[in-house]
Amino acid sequence: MSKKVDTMRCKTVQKRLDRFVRRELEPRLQAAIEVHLEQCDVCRQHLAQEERLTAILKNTAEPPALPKGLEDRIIEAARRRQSEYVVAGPASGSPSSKRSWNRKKGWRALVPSSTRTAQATVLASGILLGILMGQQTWHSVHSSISLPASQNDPRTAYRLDCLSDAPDGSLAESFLVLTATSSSREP
Amino acid sequence: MPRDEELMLAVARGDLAAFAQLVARHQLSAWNAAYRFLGNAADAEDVVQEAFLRVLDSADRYRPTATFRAYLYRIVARLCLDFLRRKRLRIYSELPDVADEKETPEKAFEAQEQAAAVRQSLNLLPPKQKMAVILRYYEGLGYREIAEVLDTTNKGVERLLSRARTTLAGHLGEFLEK
Repeated sequence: MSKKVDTMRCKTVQKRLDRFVRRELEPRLQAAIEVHLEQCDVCRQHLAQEERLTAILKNTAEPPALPKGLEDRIIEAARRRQSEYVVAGPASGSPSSKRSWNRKKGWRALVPSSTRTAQATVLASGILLGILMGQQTWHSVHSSISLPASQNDPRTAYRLDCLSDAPDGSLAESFLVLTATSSSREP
Repeated sequence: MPRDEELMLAVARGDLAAFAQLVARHQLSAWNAAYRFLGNAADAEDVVQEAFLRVLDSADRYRPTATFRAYLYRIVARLCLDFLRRKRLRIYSELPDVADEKETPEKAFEAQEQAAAVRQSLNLLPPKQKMAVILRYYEGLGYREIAEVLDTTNKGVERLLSRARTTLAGHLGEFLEK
C-alpha cells in the first residue's frame, strides 16, 4: 500500500482544526488534513486540545430559561410602536397606511412638513450666501496678489535703482533684462 | 410553514402576526447569545427586546441576502457590543451552576470550578472575540454566518477565533490537560 503524501503545513492545519472537527471543510481539504494528522504529533496534540476546549466550553452552564412573558412583552412593545406610526383617519385601514408605520419613522415622523420646508430653505440660503461670500473673497485675494505693472520692472520690484545706469551690454544690464523677462512670465 | 424570509416580507407589510411568529421562533437563540455575552438577565432581556423592535423597524429595508438568523444575530451582536461600550461591562458571574445531582460532591465542585474558570476566561476576551466564540461554540454558527454577523470576512473570523483560542487555552490550561 502506498503511503499518502502529506502536502500541508502545520500552521495551515492548526488554523482549520475547529472546522475539521465539525466536518465543515471541503472534502479534499478534510482528507488532506486527515493525512497530515496521521503523520504529525504536534497537530494531533492541537486537535486533542481543540476537542477538549470545545467540550469545556459546552460544559459551561446553559443560560437560564427565557424570562416569563418575554414574548408577550416584545409583541406588546411592537404593537405600541406600530400604533405610533399608523396614520389616523378614515383611510387608516388601507394597505398603504399599514405600510406607513414603518416607512414614516425617525425624525421625519416627528417634525411637521412645514417646519422641514422652513429648515430646508434656511439651509439653502446659508449655502448660497456662503458661495457668494467665497466668490467675493476669492476675487479680492486674487486682485491683491496680481502685481502692478510698475512692479514688472525689476529695478522697482527689487529696489535695484543702483543698476539704472548700467551700460548697454554689461552684466548688470543682462541681469535686469533676464529678471524682467522671468517675472513677466509668472502668473 | 412559512420561511423566515417570507415572514419578514409580511412584517414589512405591517403584519404583526408574522412578527409574532418570528419572535416565537428566534427569541431563544437571541436570548442565549445575549445572556452569554452580557451575563445578566435584565440586560439580556433589554437587548433581545430592542433587537426584535429593530427587526420590526427595518423590515421594509430587509433583503434576504443572508439567513434571517444571521440577520438577527447581527443586530443582537451590535446591541451587545454597544451595551458594553456604554457601560464598560461589569463582570458578572451569575450563570447558574450545572452540577449534576447524581455527581459526587467532588465532581460537582470540579464542574463548578471549571464553569467559573470558563466564564472568567471568556470575560477576559476582547468583545468581538468573545462574541465570535459564543456564536461559534454555543450557537453553532459557521464562519460565513459569523462573518456576516460581525461585519468581517472569513479570514477575519479565523483570526478572531484563533486569538480567542490561544487566550482561552492559556487561562484554562489546567482543565485542558486533565
